[in-house]
Amino acid sequence: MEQLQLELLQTTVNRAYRNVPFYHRKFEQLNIAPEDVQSLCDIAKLPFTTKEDLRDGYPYEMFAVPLREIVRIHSSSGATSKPVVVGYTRNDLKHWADQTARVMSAAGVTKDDVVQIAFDYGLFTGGFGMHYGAERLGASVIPVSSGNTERQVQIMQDFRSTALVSTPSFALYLAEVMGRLGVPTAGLWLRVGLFGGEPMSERMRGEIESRLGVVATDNYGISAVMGPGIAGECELRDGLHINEDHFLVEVVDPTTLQVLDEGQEGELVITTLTKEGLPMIRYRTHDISRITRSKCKCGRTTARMAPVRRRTDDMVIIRGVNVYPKEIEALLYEIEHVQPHYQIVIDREAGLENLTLRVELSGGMISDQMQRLVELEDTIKHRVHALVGLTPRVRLVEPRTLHEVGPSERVIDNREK
Amino acid sequence: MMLKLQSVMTYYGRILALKGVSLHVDPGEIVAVVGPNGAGKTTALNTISGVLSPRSGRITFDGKDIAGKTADKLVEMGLVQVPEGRQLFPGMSVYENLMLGAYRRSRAAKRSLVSEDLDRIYATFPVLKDRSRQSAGTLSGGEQQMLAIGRALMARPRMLLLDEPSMGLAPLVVKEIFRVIADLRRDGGTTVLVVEQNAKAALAVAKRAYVLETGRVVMEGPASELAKNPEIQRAYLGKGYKQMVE
Repeated sequence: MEQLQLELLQTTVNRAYRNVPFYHRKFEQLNIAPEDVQSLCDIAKLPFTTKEDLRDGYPYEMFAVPLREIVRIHSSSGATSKPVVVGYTRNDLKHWADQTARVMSAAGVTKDDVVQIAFDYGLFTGGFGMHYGAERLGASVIPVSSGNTERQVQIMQDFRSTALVSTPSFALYLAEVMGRLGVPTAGLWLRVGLFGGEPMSERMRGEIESRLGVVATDNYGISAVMGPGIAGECELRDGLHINEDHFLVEVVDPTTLQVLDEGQEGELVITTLTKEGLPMIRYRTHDISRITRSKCKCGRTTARMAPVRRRTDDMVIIRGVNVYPKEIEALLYEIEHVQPHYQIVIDREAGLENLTLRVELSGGMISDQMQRLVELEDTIKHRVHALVGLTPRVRLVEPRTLHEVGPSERVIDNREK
Repeated sequence: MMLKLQSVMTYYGRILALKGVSLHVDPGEIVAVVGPNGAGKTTALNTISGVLSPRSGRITFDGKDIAGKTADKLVEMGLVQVPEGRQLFPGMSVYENLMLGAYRRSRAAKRSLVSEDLDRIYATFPVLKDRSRQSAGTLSGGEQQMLAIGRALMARPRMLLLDEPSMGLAPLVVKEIFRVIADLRRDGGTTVLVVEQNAKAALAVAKRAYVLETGRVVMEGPASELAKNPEIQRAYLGKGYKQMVE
């Protein structure tokens, strides 16, 4: 594997240096040449690539082949700035299918499965990527795409879907809709779920498994690099197997950017080894994970990464303490009578920073029982303090007031910059 | 892995001809190195076979470090090169040329084994048997290439290094030579590393291939995949120009 990775890394670096002006410039600035990569460790000498670099190259500057060899273009949504555009050659699409097929196969999907793919099919990479893998395995693929939940429930029952591919939150929403429609999950044929696109906490996994009766596996992909198919859990769900023959994955300290050792937690940095259209050298994912090279009991010998539960860029620093909203979310899951719908508000009063947590009450909680509400607030305060070392102010809000808060409104930072 | 190169750098005089080349060949594989003139293909082969010494990097054959070992030692280990341009002895007969290939082993090996090998080579290349008494210089280009391969086979190689076997040959003869190369692997289990400018012919028989350009590997993969790659087709297979004009 190491010999193969070295060969592919050198090939990728040679091509990027020759064909992508951005990398050529970066190499010259750092006074390095492709031949300085003489072993896998030498990757540490190479420059990082950031999302901003990709945006600056909008739309086609980062491509390593002429547009006529690109057969597919995907793109991020780019709501606030220029989107990231990703091009695939014919070979890239073939490799993509191989890799998502491998991820699905590890999760237990076979040609006998009926795979319901509830990822958006469009510019987003999720739908097409997993579709190719399922098709490659020879499974029966239902490209139902996202949304239209009631219809999805209908299809799941009538078409006897055995595998669900979606975000974990959509899986939970499906379960909720089934509950509302009075569809018993026991009557479903569903047995395995492949979840990606957003973090899945163990709590969520447990809930999905019990409510939908599936083995819930996590898989990892990132659109700027390829989409799904970078890594995925096997049925043992003990870390995500990385497709190391196509990706070189490092973990670095997000502040010092030093490469960290096996087992240490830090930011994932990915280098593509076989991508032709858009080779990526040391792409900073901002996803936090760690890597183990110990052998998995399933027999696969690849390195494994821990599920990504948080990102470096949604970390907020309050009174010098690193706070990850996702950890607060996981904590709220464990507290009764509240929903994991929340908002974090940060203010500065007389020079002191304050963390206010707005949390939505569950429907069943009657909000006029003052005593119980105060107890609930105290519970949350204590739990948050135990987690991050800060005592927040807690404001409980009426049911269904925060459930539509998007990721960009999750944290309201009123501090002056 | 039978042969493994890691970040090999070789100078040709003062010119850095190989800029950190890594490649490998598994037992029983035919691997091709293709690329344009001056890409460093022959330098790579000569560095493996001990004609040139690498400045840095590692070369292992069967797990043993062979960087800088002389060609005769490598022949004894089973790594034999068929040089570019055949390099036969034109004044000597076909038979004599073949026997030279067994020179390193003639003292140690039994005569009967050598004649057994000779028979096998005559069976593979019947034309060499027909002309065994003829001087090598009178053979056609294709026959000379067969003789050069036959001579290398007399050393009982476990791995054959072929340098531009198609050079100067008519297309039909090139086809014949590559058919023989494929047969060698199939029948004798000989592992082959072939360096070729004629990418089409080489990719047709190879399992995997590396594309070398100005001393660097810029592409690698299954030969069938590379043969279909538009970049390769345009650069080495002469396809795609029509579409570009349109």
